[in-house]
Amino acid sequence: MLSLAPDASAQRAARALAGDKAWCEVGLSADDQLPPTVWGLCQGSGHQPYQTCVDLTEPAYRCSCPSRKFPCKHTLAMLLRWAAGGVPEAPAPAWVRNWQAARAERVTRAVAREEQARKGGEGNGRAVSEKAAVRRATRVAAGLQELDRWLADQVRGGLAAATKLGYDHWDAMAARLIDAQAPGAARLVRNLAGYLGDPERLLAELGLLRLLTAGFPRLDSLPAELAGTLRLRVGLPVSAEEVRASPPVRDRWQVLGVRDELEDNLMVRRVWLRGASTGRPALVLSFAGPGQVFVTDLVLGTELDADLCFYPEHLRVLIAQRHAPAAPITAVGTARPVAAAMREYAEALAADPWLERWPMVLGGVVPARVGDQWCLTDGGDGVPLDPAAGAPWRLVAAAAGRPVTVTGEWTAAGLRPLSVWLGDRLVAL
Amino acid sequence: MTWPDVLATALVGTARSGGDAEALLDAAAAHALRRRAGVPLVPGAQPPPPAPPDDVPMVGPAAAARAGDLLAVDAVTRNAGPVRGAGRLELLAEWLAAAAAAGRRLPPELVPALLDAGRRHPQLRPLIGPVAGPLAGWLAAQRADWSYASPAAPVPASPASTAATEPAAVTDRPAASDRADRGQSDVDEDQVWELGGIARRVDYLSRLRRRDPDRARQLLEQVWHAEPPEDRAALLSTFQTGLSTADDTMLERALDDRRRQVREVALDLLAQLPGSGYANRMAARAAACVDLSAEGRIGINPPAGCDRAMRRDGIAPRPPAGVGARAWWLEEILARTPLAVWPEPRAFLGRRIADEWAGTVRRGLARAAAVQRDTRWAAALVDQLTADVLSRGQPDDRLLLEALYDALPPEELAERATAALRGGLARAAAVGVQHVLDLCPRPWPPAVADAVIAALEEQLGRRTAPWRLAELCELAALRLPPALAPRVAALAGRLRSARPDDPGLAIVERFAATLKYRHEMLEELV
Repeated sequence: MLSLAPDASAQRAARALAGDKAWCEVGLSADDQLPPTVWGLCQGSGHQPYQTCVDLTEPAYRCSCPSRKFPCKHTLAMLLRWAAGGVPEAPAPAWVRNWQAARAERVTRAVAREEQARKGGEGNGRAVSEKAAVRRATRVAAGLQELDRWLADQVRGGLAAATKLGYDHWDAMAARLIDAQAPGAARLVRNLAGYLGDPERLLAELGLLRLLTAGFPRLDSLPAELAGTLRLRVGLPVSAEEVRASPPVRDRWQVLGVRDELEDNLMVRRVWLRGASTGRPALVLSFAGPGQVFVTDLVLGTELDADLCFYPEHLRVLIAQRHAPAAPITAVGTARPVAAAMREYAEALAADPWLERWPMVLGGVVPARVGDQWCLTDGGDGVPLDPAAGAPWRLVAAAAGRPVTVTGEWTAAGLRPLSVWLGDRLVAL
Repeated sequence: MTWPDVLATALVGTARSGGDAEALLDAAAAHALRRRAGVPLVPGAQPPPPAPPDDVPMVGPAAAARAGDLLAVDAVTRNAGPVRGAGRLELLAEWLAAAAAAGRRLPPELVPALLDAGRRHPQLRPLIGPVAGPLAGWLAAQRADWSYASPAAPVPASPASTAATEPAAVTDRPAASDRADRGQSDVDEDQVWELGGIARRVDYLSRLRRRDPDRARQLLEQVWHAEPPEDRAALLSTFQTGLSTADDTMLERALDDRRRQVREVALDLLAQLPGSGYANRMAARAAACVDLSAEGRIGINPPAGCDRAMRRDGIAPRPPAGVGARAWWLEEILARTPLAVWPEPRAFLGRRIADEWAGTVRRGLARAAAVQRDTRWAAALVDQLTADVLSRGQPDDRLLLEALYDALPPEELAERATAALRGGLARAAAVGVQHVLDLCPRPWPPAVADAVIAALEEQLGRRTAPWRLAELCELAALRLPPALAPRVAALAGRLRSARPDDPGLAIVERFAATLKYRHEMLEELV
């Protein structure tokens, strides 16, 4: 519950408030017109008590307090009370019903808007955006053509010479790709500067970039899925409407890994999901600028019954609809032995050659050390761990030498462990 | 074209080696994908044998989360808690002790962080075994800088005498000590003595002192002259463990060392050795200066000079500023004389003494009582000095008082703290009540707790500047019984409503918050 808190001070405040006598009235209501909602009146420093309510299916929050933190301490405290069983069932007061009604209306309106956009045709807007899209596609094509020539130049002059050039050499090309509105390709080029000490990796990345530049002019002749992936990797935008238009996949999605990384002054949070019955991996990406906090409610070790819509590369998703509040995971059934997990990865790589991170759920593995290299073994050869992730002592201690289920991100440098399932709880690593 | 060929061609460049650049890139892409899909796994991975099972139940999720916060090393979590720095360590120690008392263990994933904390803070080490269980030893066997927690690490023979100088080894729940294992490690360790760095050799020697002090002394005697002076000092300091009159000769020899550091170590040790030749020499010097022949009086005949022999025995020839030379020498002699040569402390201190010497004699005796950790002398002197400080208040005397407190048993300190606080915070502070409270048993006994809260309340009622309030509140926050949290919260609440702009309010509120934190922490562990 507390991992929903935007920061540590809100957590502390919420803990303090949860057991407090400031609550005049609390209740849990659910009926046909009303999804399960916890609500309460909390006497704060103001004259009127604050009205706080939480829709448990999303969760979505509202509180009448002036706090700029979201969710605020009142919301968190009420959830804590609810989690501790301190909220009785009660009929919902009018203000709660009004809130839920307003929300329902907003959703209906949004759906209607989308419908409208999909039917499209009549409005001027669509024509304008189509023209813009064509213009952008032309610029991107020109940028990638230049990249193609540049790639060939690197190989013509020799990588040995290219690695001696400064960062400017790589950044200049990346900047030109940004100008050409191909930010995906630009990022890949900028990353090249990190492999100057590793010519094998550098050449491999150049080859993968060449796949992009060679494939882009032939987009129309490629299979639709591969074309979609390629567009995405180049950096052409995919609108949320387009994603929502794809057929949703319903499952109990288990949150098996959360990882925050700093990329270009932006915190990127990757939340890895696995469908308990489909076994499908999914990725929820969210971003936070400097000083901002993530507005995510996906908590490691919980599962949510929801419809997800996949992006064209079949990994990143949008949550289209939730059917029930998140609940703690009781079993991780999607674990695979090492060999099967590697096969799965190879298949994913065949569908998306530019795949950088792939979520793995390895079953029955034990951490072991071979020289300085840590790996996970299920009796046979071990899956190497990414040395940059540091020595996995937390994992070693949690496993205590016994086979466990480990989740992680597979990258070209090795596996980065994210969590370990100990039979009754999922532990973050 | 194989991958090595592709790589070689690319490194040189197609301009020189010939061939088509685009085709080469395409080949590189194909190879890269094939290589990525066929992940190079690590052969020959041998996991260690599993850790012994631990059927002690784990602490609940709330307690586990709190332990995680207390063990966290990142700045954000560290600063989120109610206390920082050394206080945080004290909270962690309290958590560990409470978990052990509740018969619960730490979640396994937190044990590495705990072992790291123990590596940096030896005072935590004895608390690790009971909450980490056999997992600690299992992990320690896999990482050198956790070796202090391995079950093979020797347990000190007499914790009372060695605890002050030696970090106690972690005692594991199941008593694990294997004879064969011990023999094996001795063989390896002889090499440590011959070849190891100074830190490891000191470690080796002090462990040997615990088992066999004579053997350790012989080892050091053999190499004494070959060692560099700094190492001589470091190695000699291990004699603190298992010190006895058998070490007398060796220490006398060290007194003639050219290096001052070595002589100082020897002097410190000799001062703790009542039967030594050094003690006898000092006793003779003291007897010459102090005349006890007259009934009810003490006659003082201070030394006329500081000769070579006195300097060899560590008496500083030059007095500090403002102290007469002869008085200084007298104080130095008394400070190094075994207290056993004097009559009963109360009887001795009850005798009349010339005013000009009273202070000197008392200071000398107080220093001796502090060094020799003589409880009876310390108690008698504290009484006298307390009266003196309250009437005159010399800062020197307060330092002396604080040194004497160290020699008193905790229960007696608790009584003294209570008595001192009854006179108000200002008077108590003058006799160093802070230091007494710091030494009191934890958590404070009810009498001390009541006295502290009463004194704080009185101080806050007075509306004076929050003099020394912060320090006392910080200490009380960590040492008061946590069950008093509501009382302190009420105190803070009263202050807030009575005087919201009081400069002491923030201090008292933090005090209340910390105590509440501890209260919740212990509730979670029940």
